[in-house]
Amino acid sequence: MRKDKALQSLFFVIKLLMAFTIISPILYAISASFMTNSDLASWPPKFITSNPIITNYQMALKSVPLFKFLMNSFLVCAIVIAAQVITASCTAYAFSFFEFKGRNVLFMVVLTTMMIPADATIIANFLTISKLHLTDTYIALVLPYLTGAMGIFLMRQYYMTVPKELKEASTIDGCGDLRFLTSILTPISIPAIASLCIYVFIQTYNQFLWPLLVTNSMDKRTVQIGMQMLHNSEAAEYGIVLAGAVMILVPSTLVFIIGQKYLIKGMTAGAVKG
Amino acid sequence: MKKTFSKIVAAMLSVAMLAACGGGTSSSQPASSTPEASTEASSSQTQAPEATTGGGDTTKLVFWHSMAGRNGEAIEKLVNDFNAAQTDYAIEIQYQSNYDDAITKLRSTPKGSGPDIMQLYDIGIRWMVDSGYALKVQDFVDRDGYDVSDIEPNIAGYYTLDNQLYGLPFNSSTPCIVYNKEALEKAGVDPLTDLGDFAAIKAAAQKVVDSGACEIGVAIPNYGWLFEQWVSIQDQDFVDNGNGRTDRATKVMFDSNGAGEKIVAAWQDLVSQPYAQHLGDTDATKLVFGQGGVAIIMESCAVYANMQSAAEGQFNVGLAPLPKIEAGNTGGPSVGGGALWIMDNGDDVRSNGAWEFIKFAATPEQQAQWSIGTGYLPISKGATEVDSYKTYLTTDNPDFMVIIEALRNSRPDRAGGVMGVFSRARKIVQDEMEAAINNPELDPKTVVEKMATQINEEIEIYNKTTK
Repeated sequence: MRKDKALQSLFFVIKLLMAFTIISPILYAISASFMTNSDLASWPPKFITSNPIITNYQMALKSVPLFKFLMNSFLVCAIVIAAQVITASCTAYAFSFFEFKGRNVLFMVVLTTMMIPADATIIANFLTISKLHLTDTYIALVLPYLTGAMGIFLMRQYYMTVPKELKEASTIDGCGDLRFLTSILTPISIPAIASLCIYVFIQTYNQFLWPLLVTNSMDKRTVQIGMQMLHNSEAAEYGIVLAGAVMILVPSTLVFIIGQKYLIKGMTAGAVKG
Repeated sequence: MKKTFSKIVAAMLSVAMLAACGGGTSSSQPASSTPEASTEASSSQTQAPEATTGGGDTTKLVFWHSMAGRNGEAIEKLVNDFNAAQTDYAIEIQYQSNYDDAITKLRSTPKGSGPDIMQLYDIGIRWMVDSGYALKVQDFVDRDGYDVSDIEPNIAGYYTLDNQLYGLPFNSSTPCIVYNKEALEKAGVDPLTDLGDFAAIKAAAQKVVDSGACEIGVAIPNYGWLFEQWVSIQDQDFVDNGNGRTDRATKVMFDSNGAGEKIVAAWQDLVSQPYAQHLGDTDATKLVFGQGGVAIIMESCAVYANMQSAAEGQFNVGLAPLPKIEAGNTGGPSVGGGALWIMDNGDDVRSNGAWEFIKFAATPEQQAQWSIGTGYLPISKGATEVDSYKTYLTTDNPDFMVIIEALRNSRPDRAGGVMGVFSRARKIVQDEMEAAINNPELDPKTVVEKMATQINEEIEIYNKTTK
């Protein structure tokens, strides 16, 4: 027994070390965002500065309206996530619970869209948006991302694991398709929905080229463009860039922490009902 | 029925809640979709949707730029000054990421809905001319009898093809030596006389290391721009057809005229010395320089302020002209940076407004302020006579005058090559140079031939696919 405990604490130390190694770049970024330019350039490199400054944060906020950009990113993410969850669960429902001719072919067609790199379609999408006179609007920011093959695939795979009997029993009790989807299927697929939400959030939050193309004015732009605006190519001031990065890192970290709780909660709930 | 609906609503709500877990609270949605007053006083005109005539007689103009950070603030100040100085035009500045991203965006923007004024890097000139997106600045100069004599001829020279000025230079920088003042002093090297060519650089670097002032004497970052500069300094052409200026370039020249081979040989020779070291690209080299690890590096003069703040408390930073490959070289360096272009939107009022703005940006007062704010060279000769700039040159940045003088002593006819695929070419030069630096055994001739073949292919594709 005692040996077990010793072994366990050893593993714990190893895990802690691994976690520290993985997170160290972020810790260094946070530490460096409080350093002066000469602290950053000093040799041997400093990991913690003796005289921390907050001017980097002040400069970052002064040169870029970061809060406005954050709000825009949140709005865009919220719309895209809501839309993807609705479209993906409805489409996946059809693919997994309805029997119809060409179902598999259609599903394959949806999957093949994942093979087309986003970079290849971005210009064509931009031309469409221009023709519709939608440039510099929130609509343009979200329109191409309201649905996605990845979400459909994810939800469909999850629905496939749901026993057919559940659906049959509901049908016998007089439950229609829409009601089955909303009040039976959705509650038990919270873990899948949560992972979809996190995935879509990270992807949308990190978008750079698309928001850059379709927006022009400062009050429609998103955080990643703000990051680029902090980076002066000929005289990069890394302290300021890192201060900006740390600020925009906070929301994504929070999303992950909150999302993780949902993931686990949903997973255990499903397991009991299995 | 009613129950079903309430269930749907409940489902929607749960979805919305999940969405809220994705970062934004749902209450934030209406708040941020209304055009609330910007909390930052940064952009003065934000509500106008597109560039068309607004209320009154004020014409709205759109200006695309690629200046970030400190330079972005300086350009904003310039535009605000212009808007305050007159009432006919109101310029809205729009940052479009770096120059390459801006070109991508411009290419996919339907004609007429793009910007009225655009800032683009030096090497984009051939593409801009070939694409027909811009109006020739020379036409406006001739029409108004505008006096261009105040513009540094060596800077304007780069944007002149066949005696026609295409873009008006705006942000200019030139390559130079950036050195550690205390280290050179300790080694007994006079930066004004002892850094003239590669042989002198070798001697100086040796002295630095011998004196123990720095671990590394000299480091040249692998930057394709420097290669181009040394072709110019040897008074040779980079590409054919008058360096791409009388007609579109069809092939590179630095292989056949021997300039490239000499650069590769000199560079390899320098790096193989014990007192020199290859540190990588510009960022890596600047980093080591800022740490006081190397005494002499070669960079754009625009890095001066940044290097100074990195070296603060350790040493002082000095600037000197870029060395010649051989003492007898008669050419000179050309400029980098960017120019302002008047974009063709088929509207005379707007193009005239753009012309007014770029003239304003070129005035001595504005160029003085711009240079102080950014570290770029002023393109206006008169800027050095502006009081604020005189003070800047004497107190804050005395070495800047050395660089301005070096540029003035260069020759307008050595303005540097022009071609449509310059950013590709630069990448190719850097890749081959990296191989050559890391393997001093590589024959310079083979290295140059490899560069030439690849760039020639790119030029051929460009010429076949562009009009």
